[in-house]
Amino acid sequence: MNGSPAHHNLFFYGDDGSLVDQVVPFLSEGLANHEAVVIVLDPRKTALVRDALGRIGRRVASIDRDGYYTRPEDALAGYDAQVRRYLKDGAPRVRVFGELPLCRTNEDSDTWILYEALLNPAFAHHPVTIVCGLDGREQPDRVVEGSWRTHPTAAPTPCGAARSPPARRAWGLGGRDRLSRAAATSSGLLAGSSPTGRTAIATALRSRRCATTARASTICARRLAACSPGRRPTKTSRPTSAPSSSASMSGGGEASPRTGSN
Amino acid sequence: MTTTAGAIAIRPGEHACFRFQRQEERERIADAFMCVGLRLGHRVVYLCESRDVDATLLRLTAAEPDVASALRTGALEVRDANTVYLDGRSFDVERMIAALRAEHRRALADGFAGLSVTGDVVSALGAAEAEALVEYERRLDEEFGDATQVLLCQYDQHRFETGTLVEMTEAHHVEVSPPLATLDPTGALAAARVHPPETLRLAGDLDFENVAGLLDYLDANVHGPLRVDLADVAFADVAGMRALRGSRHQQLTIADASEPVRRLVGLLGWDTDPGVLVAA
Repeated sequence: MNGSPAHHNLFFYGDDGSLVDQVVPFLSEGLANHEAVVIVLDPRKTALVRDALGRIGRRVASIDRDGYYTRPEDALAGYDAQVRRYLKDGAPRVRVFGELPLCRTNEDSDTWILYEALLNPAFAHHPVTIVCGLDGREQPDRVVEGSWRTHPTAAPTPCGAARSPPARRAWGLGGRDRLSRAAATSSGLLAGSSPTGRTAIATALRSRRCATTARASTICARRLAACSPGRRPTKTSRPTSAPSSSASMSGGGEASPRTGSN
Repeated sequence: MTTTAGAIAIRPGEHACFRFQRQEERERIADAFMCVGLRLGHRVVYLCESRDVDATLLRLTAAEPDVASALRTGALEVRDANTVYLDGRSFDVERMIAALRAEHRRALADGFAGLSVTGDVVSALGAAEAEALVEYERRLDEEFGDATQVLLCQYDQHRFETGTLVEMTEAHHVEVSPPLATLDPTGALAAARVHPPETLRLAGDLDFENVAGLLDYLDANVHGPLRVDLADVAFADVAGMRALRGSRHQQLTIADASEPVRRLVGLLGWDTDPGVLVAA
């Protein structure tokens, strides 16, 4: 069981044209595979993407970014519930293109980068493909830099396979040094791949949140700890199905008492 | 077995489609469709691009022993899609539907039990606008429901915009795209996606020899309750039935079942299992 889904990708862009060019094929491919397809964007970009999708645009569900991303815990729980609902309704997979809310302060940036890190273990056992859009025009450097660390694969084409470091470089705004720094620190915290990493996430969240939030983060960390000890993230691995561990992560839900195989 | 074609989960009266990426997939599914049509006593019209007519004839004659006699009796016609559909003129939904109706009448007049048509849509209607194609498929789905006709449309995935493919597929209520129709390498078991409601239909032999592909498919695609239609399952064993619960033991609804399946449902105790719902 891998701690980081190969399907949590980053798409970095700087203008509306490339957003539409890359995201429309990604979303329509999902529709063609009968997947549940969701966008989490601000109203302007939602309209832009829907228009570009044409007549199939209405098949894409949209969530308002700013209403959804209030707190990381909330967003994670919301995503989890939503994904389970889609799968229960028969979707073979869930495909998401989403963007973080605007981060105006350093604290905001750190909070949402931690959220991105949490997404990796949280969705490791769900059949999801998440591409996070990162608009270079909107987000501060701190978010850009953190995003490189929190996404197992960063790609100019969201639907493409894992990209090699040269491709990542080609898409980095800040050039080589920023990326190599990101790569150097990308092991521990990012995927919650070690117990220390998980504790660090919880501690970091706790330190900047009120008591209620801290409790939620502890629960969150405990649930993450419940998933099997993670191995090093590898680029080729795919999230595998593991009913027992994914059920325990969500605190029950669809846990089945019988998991015998045929 | 001398034939390469196996089961196909399409029923008389249906308008089905499949999307393919590789030529082998396409041939396998179309050939299975042809064999089933011939077994039903239908006239089978196999449409392809004009340059492929001869190659298709050769391939079919070599692969299927019955093909040569079917060609002689007129039970099988391999034809250039363009002449059938377009006849040198531009694409028109009404004229196409009229052409299909005429084919159907002709098959019945010639003494066949019905008409089975399969063809690569793009080779026939290459010049048409995507929107007109979608309209055509929707009309076909509404107009054709007679048990003496079966239509199987083929879509080359490389030749359509993804958005168009989505709409085209939705216009057919039965889809047999790979890996559905090709679940089992020997062709003994085949599947179709039928909607609404979203149902997995199986046809052929559901037994320990053939379930590997089904298990993989369920693992990758089904994460919630599963609704299956097993009316076309000719043979089933316990391993085959248990495969339907998948590795997750999901809630199973059996919408319809053949006699062998019903017997096993009783033997397995599924009729009293809360995890299985068997429709009457």
